[in-house]
Amino acid sequence: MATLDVLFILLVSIAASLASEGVSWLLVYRTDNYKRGKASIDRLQAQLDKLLEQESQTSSLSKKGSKDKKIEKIEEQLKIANKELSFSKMKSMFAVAVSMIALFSYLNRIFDGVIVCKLPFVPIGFLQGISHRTIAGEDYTDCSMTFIYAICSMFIRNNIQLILGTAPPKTKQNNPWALPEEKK
Amino acid sequence: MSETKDTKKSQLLLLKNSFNKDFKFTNKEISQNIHWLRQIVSVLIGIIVGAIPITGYPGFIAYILFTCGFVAIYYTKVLEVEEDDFKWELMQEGFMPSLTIFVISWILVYNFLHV
Repeated sequence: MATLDVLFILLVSIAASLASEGVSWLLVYRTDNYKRGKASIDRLQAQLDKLLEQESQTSSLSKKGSKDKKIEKIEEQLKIANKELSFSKMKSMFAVAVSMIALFSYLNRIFDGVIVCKLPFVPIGFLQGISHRTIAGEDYTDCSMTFIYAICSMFIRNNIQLILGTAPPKTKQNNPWALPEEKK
Repeated sequence: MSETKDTKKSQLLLLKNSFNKDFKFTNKEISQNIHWLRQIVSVLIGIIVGAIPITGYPGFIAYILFTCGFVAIYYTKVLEVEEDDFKWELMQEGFMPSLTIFVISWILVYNFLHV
Protein backbone atom coordinates (compact mmCIF):
# COMPACT_ATOMS: atom_id res chain seq x y z
CA MET A 1 0.00 0.00 0.00
CA ALA A 2 2.75 2.36 0.99
CA THR A 3 4.51 1.91 -2.33
CA LEU A 4 1.34 2.78 -4.20
CA ASP A 5 0.96 6.02 -2.29
CA VAL A 6 4.52 7.00 -3.05
CA LEU A 7 4.08 6.13 -6.70
CA PHE A 8 0.89 8.16 -6.79
CA ILE A 9 2.68 11.20 -5.41
CA LEU A 10 5.53 10.64 -7.87
CA LEU A 11 3.13 10.55 -10.81
CA VAL A 12 1.25 13.60 -9.60
CA SER A 13 4.42 15.59 -9.35
CA ILE A 14 5.59 14.45 -12.80
CA ALA A 15 2.25 15.53 -14.22
CA ALA A 16 2.42 18.83 -12.35
CA SER A 17 5.90 19.58 -13.67
CA LEU A 18 4.88 18.77 -17.21
CA ALA A 19 1.81 20.94 -16.87
CA SER A 20 3.79 23.83 -15.49
CA GLU A 21 6.27 23.58 -18.35
CA GLY A 22 3.30 23.54 -20.71
CA VAL A 23 1.93 26.71 -19.18
CA SER A 24 5.35 28.29 -19.39
CA TRP A 25 5.56 27.35 -23.03
CA LEU A 26 2.14 28.83 -23.68
CA LEU A 27 2.89 32.08 -21.93
CA VAL A 28 6.60 32.55 -22.40
CA TYR A 29 8.70 30.14 -24.43
CA ARG A 30 6.84 30.57 -27.69
CA THR A 31 6.93 34.35 -27.61
CA ASP A 32 9.39 36.09 -29.87
CA ASN A 33 10.62 38.17 -27.02
CA TYR A 34 11.82 35.13 -25.12
CA LYS A 35 13.36 33.51 -28.20
CA ARG A 36 15.29 36.67 -28.97
CA GLY A 37 16.57 36.91 -25.41
CA LYS A 38 17.61 33.28 -25.37
CA ALA A 39 19.41 33.57 -28.70
CA SER A 40 21.31 36.63 -27.58
CA ILE A 41 22.37 34.89 -24.38
CA ASP A 42 23.63 31.90 -26.33
CA ARG A 43 25.55 34.16 -28.67
CA LEU A 44 27.15 36.13 -25.85
CA GLN A 45 28.06 32.96 -24.02
CA ALA A 46 29.74 31.55 -27.10
CA GLN A 47 31.69 34.78 -27.57
CA LEU A 48 32.76 34.75 -23.97
CA ASP A 49 33.90 31.13 -24.11
CA LYS A 50 35.91 31.84 -27.21
CA LEU A 51 37.59 34.86 -25.65
CA LEU A 52 38.40 33.00 -22.46
CA GLU A 53 39.89 30.17 -24.44
CA GLN A 54 42.01 32.54 -26.46
CA GLU A 55 43.18 34.22 -23.34
CA SER A 56 44.27 30.98 -21.72
CA GLN A 57 46.21 30.08 -24.86
CA THR A 58 48.05 33.32 -25.39
CA SER A 59 50.19 34.06 -22.41
CA SER A 60 51.58 37.31 -23.78
CA LEU A 61 51.12 40.02 -21.21
CA SER A 62 51.04 42.91 -23.65
CA LYS A 63 47.57 42.30 -25.06
CA LYS A 64 45.97 41.16 -21.87
CA GLY A 65 44.57 44.52 -20.81
CA SER A 66 42.30 45.06 -23.80
CA LYS A 67 41.12 41.46 -23.79
CA ASP A 68 40.17 41.66 -20.15
CA LYS A 69 38.12 44.73 -20.81
CA LYS A 70 36.33 43.00 -23.66
CA ILE A 71 35.55 40.00 -21.49
CA GLU A 72 34.23 42.20 -18.75
CA LYS A 73 31.99 44.01 -21.18
CA ILE A 74 30.52 40.79 -22.52
CA GLU A 75 29.99 39.45 -19.03
CA GLU A 76 28.10 42.60 -18.17
CA GLN A 77 25.88 42.25 -21.23
CA LEU A 78 25.29 38.62 -20.38
CA LYS A 79 24.15 39.53 -16.90
CA ILE A 80 21.69 42.09 -18.23
CA ALA A 81 20.33 39.64 -20.80
CA ASN A 82 19.85 36.99 -18.12
CA LYS A 83 17.99 39.42 -15.94
CA GLU A 84 15.66 40.37 -18.78
CA LEU A 85 14.99 36.74 -19.54
CA SER A 86 14.05 35.87 -15.99
CA PHE A 87 11.87 38.96 -15.87
CA SER A 88 9.95 37.80 -18.92
CA LYS A 89 9.36 34.48 -17.18
CA MET A 90 7.73 36.12 -14.19
CA LYS A 91 4.19 35.99 -15.55
CA SER A 92 4.23 32.25 -16.05
CA MET A 93 6.02 31.69 -12.78
CA PHE A 94 3.21 33.43 -10.98
CA ALA A 95 0.56 31.30 -12.70
CA VAL A 96 2.51 28.15 -11.99
CA ALA A 97 3.01 29.06 -8.36
CA VAL A 98 -0.71 29.60 -7.81
CA SER A 99 -1.66 26.29 -9.38
CA MET A 100 1.07 24.48 -7.46
CA ILE A 101 -0.28 25.81 -4.20
CA ALA A 102 -3.74 24.63 -5.17
CA LEU A 103 -2.45 21.19 -6.03
CA PHE A 104 -0.48 21.00 -2.83
CA SER A 105 -3.48 21.87 -0.68
CA TYR A 106 -5.50 19.22 -2.53
CA LEU A 107 -2.84 16.60 -1.81
CA ASN A 108 -2.71 17.79 1.76
CA ARG A 109 -6.40 17.11 2.14
CA ILE A 110 -6.11 13.56 0.78
CA PHE A 111 -3.05 12.65 2.81
CA ASP A 112 -3.92 14.49 5.99
CA GLY A 113 -2.46 12.50 8.87
CA VAL A 114 -1.69 9.52 6.65
CA ILE A 115 1.63 7.75 7.03
CA VAL A 116 2.60 7.45 3.41
CA CYS A 117 5.67 5.32 3.93
CA LYS A 118 8.42 4.28 6.28
CA LEU A 119 11.71 6.06 5.82
CA PRO A 120 14.80 3.89 5.93
CA PHE A 121 16.52 6.66 7.91
CA VAL A 122 15.71 9.25 10.54
CA PRO A 123 15.83 12.70 8.96
CA ILE A 124 17.93 15.36 10.62
CA GLY A 125 16.40 18.14 12.71
CA PHE A 126 14.83 20.64 10.39
CA LEU A 127 13.74 17.96 7.93
CA GLN A 128 11.68 16.24 10.63
CA GLY A 129 9.31 19.18 10.49
CA ILE A 130 8.61 18.34 6.85
CA SER A 131 8.69 14.57 7.02
CA HIS A 132 6.58 14.33 10.16
CA ARG A 133 4.02 16.95 9.21
CA THR A 134 0.43 16.20 10.28
CA ILE A 135 1.53 12.82 11.66
CA ALA A 136 1.03 11.98 15.30
CA GLY A 137 3.45 9.92 17.33
CA GLU A 138 7.14 9.93 18.04
CA ASP A 139 8.37 7.48 15.42
CA TYR A 140 10.34 9.72 13.12
CA THR A 141 10.74 7.12 10.40
CA ASP A 142 7.07 7.65 9.57
CA CYS A 143 6.88 9.88 6.57
CA SER A 144 4.18 12.25 5.44
CA MET A 145 3.21 13.23 1.91
CA THR A 146 4.91 16.61 2.14
CA PHE A 147 8.41 15.14 2.30
CA ILE A 148 7.89 12.80 -0.65
CA TYR A 149 6.30 15.55 -2.69
CA ALA A 150 9.11 17.96 -1.92
CA ILE A 151 11.89 15.63 -2.97
CA CYS A 152 9.97 14.44 -6.01
CA SER A 153 9.40 17.92 -7.29
CA MET A 154 13.04 18.74 -6.70
CA PHE A 155 14.49 16.26 -9.14
CA ILE A 156 11.55 15.94 -11.52
CA ARG A 157 11.29 19.63 -12.29
CA ASN A 158 15.00 19.94 -12.84
CA ASN A 159 15.24 16.91 -15.11
CA ILE A 160 12.15 17.71 -17.13
CA GLN A 161 13.48 21.17 -17.81
CA LEU A 162 16.75 19.64 -18.94
CA ILE A 163 15.03 17.15 -21.23
CA LEU A 164 12.84 19.82 -22.79
CA GLY A 165 15.78 22.17 -23.05
CA THR A 166 14.09 24.92 -21.06
CA ALA A 167 16.41 24.91 -18.09
CA PRO A 168 17.37 28.41 -17.04
CA PRO A 169 20.86 29.31 -18.23
CA LYS A 170 23.43 28.69 -15.55
CA THR A 171 25.49 31.56 -14.27
CA LYS A 172 28.19 31.24 -11.70
CA GLN A 173 26.66 33.80 -9.38
CA ASN A 174 23.38 31.97 -9.53
CA ASN A 175 22.24 31.14 -6.03
CA PRO A 176 19.60 28.42 -5.81
CA TRP A 177 18.17 29.92 -2.62
CA ALA A 178 17.66 33.35 -4.15
CA LEU A 179 14.28 32.53 -5.68
CA PRO A 180 12.12 35.11 -3.86
CA GLU A 181 14.16 37.88 -5.39
CA GLU A 182 12.50 37.33 -8.74
CA LYS A 183 9.09 38.19 -7.34
CA LYS A 184 10.02 41.77 -6.67
CA MET B 1 26.65 27.51 -38.07
CA SER B 2 28.70 24.63 -36.72
CA GLU B 3 28.09 25.85 -33.19
CA THR B 4 24.34 25.62 -33.48
CA LYS B 5 24.73 22.15 -34.89
CA ASP B 6 26.91 21.07 -32.00
CA THR B 7 24.44 22.14 -29.39
CA LYS B 8 21.77 20.08 -31.10
CA LYS B 9 23.49 16.74 -30.64
CA SER B 10 20.89 14.63 -28.95
CA GLN B 11 21.39 13.62 -25.37
CA LEU B 12 20.98 9.95 -26.23
CA LEU B 13 23.82 10.12 -28.71
CA LEU B 14 25.99 11.77 -26.09
CA LEU B 15 25.11 9.15 -23.50
CA LYS B 16 25.82 6.29 -25.88
CA ASN B 17 29.24 7.72 -26.54
CA SER B 18 29.99 8.57 -22.94
CA PHE B 19 32.58 5.78 -22.62
CA ASN B 20 33.95 6.27 -26.10
CA LYS B 21 37.36 7.81 -25.72
CA ASP B 22 37.55 9.02 -29.31
CA PHE B 23 34.40 11.08 -29.01
CA LYS B 24 35.06 14.79 -28.66
CA PHE B 25 32.92 16.57 -26.10
CA THR B 26 32.59 20.25 -25.40
CA ASN B 27 32.60 21.28 -21.76
CA LYS B 28 28.86 21.83 -21.81
CA GLU B 29 28.24 18.38 -23.18
CA ILE B 30 30.47 16.88 -20.52
CA SER B 31 28.43 18.56 -17.78
CA GLN B 32 25.19 17.36 -19.30
CA ASN B 33 26.50 13.88 -19.68
CA ILE B 34 27.75 13.75 -16.12
CA HIS B 35 24.39 15.01 -14.95
CA TRP B 36 22.54 12.14 -16.61
CA LEU B 37 25.08 9.47 -15.76
CA ARG B 38 24.89 10.61 -12.19
CA GLN B 39 21.11 10.29 -12.12
CA ILE B 40 21.35 6.76 -13.48
CA VAL B 41 24.03 5.75 -11.01
CA SER B 42 22.00 7.27 -8.16
CA VAL B 43 18.91 5.27 -9.06
CA LEU B 44 20.95 2.09 -9.20
CA ILE B 45 22.58 2.77 -5.84
CA GLY B 46 19.17 3.61 -4.37
CA ILE B 47 17.76 0.30 -5.56
CA ILE B 48 20.70 -1.68 -4.24
CA VAL B 49 20.76 0.12 -0.89
CA GLY B 50 17.01 -0.32 -0.52
CA ALA B 51 17.10 -3.98 -1.46
CA ILE B 52 19.82 -5.01 1.02
CA PRO B 53 18.36 -3.05 3.06
CA ILE B 54 20.71 -0.50 4.52
CA THR B 55 19.05 1.90 6.93
CA GLY B 56 20.19 5.12 8.49
CA TYR B 57 23.19 7.19 7.61
CA PRO B 58 25.33 4.44 6.07
CA GLY B 59 22.97 4.71 3.12
CA PHE B 60 23.89 8.35 2.55
CA ILE B 61 27.55 7.61 3.02
CA ALA B 62 27.28 4.86 0.41
CA TYR B 63 25.56 7.28 -1.93
CA ILE B 64 28.22 9.96 -1.57
CA LEU B 65 31.07 7.48 -1.86
CA PHE B 66 29.71 5.78 -4.95
CA THR B 67 28.48 8.76 -6.94
CA CYS B 68 31.45 10.98 -6.20
CA GLY B 69 33.76 8.05 -6.78
CA PHE B 70 32.02 7.32 -10.04
CA VAL B 71 32.24 10.90 -11.24
CA ALA B 72 35.88 11.15 -10.20
CA ILE B 73 36.84 7.94 -11.96
CA TYR B 74 34.82 8.94 -15.00
CA TYR B 75 36.50 12.26 -15.50
CA THR B 76 40.00 11.11 -14.75
CA LYS B 77 40.01 7.82 -16.64
CA VAL B 78 37.64 8.45 -19.53
CA LEU B 79 37.62 12.18 -20.13
CA GLU B 80 41.07 12.95 -18.74
CA VAL B 81 40.03 16.39 -17.53
CA GLU B 82 42.96 18.43 -16.28
CA GLU B 83 41.63 21.70 -14.86
CA ASP B 84 40.82 21.65 -11.18
CA ASP B 85 38.07 24.25 -11.45
CA PHE B 86 36.24 22.24 -14.03
CA LYS B 87 36.62 19.06 -11.98
CA TRP B 88 35.00 20.77 -9.04
CA GLU B 89 32.21 22.00 -11.27
CA LEU B 90 31.62 18.48 -12.52
CA MET B 91 31.57 17.20 -8.95
CA GLN B 92 28.70 19.54 -8.14
CA GLU B 93 26.87 18.98 -11.40
CA GLY B 94 23.38 17.67 -10.70
CA PHE B 95 24.10 16.94 -7.07
CA MET B 96 20.73 17.86 -5.58
CA PRO B 97 18.59 16.14 -8.23
CA SER B 98 20.66 12.99 -7.98
CA LEU B 99 20.54 13.01 -4.18
CA THR B 100 16.76 13.29 -4.21
CA ILE B 101 16.38 10.68 -6.93
CA PHE B 102 18.52 8.38 -4.80
CA VAL B 103 16.38 9.00 -1.71
CA ILE B 104 13.18 8.32 -3.65
CA SER B 105 14.39 5.06 -5.13
CA TRP B 106 15.75 4.01 -1.74
CA ILE B 107 12.40 4.72 -0.06
CA LEU B 108 10.43 3.01 -2.80
CA VAL B 109 12.44 -0.19 -2.86
CA TYR B 110 12.72 -0.32 0.92
CA ASN B 111 8.96 0.07 1.35
CA PHE B 112 8.21 -2.40 -1.41
CA LEU B 113 10.44 -5.17 -0.11
CA HIS B 114 10.78 -4.69 3.61
CA VAL B 115 7.79 -2.93 5.14
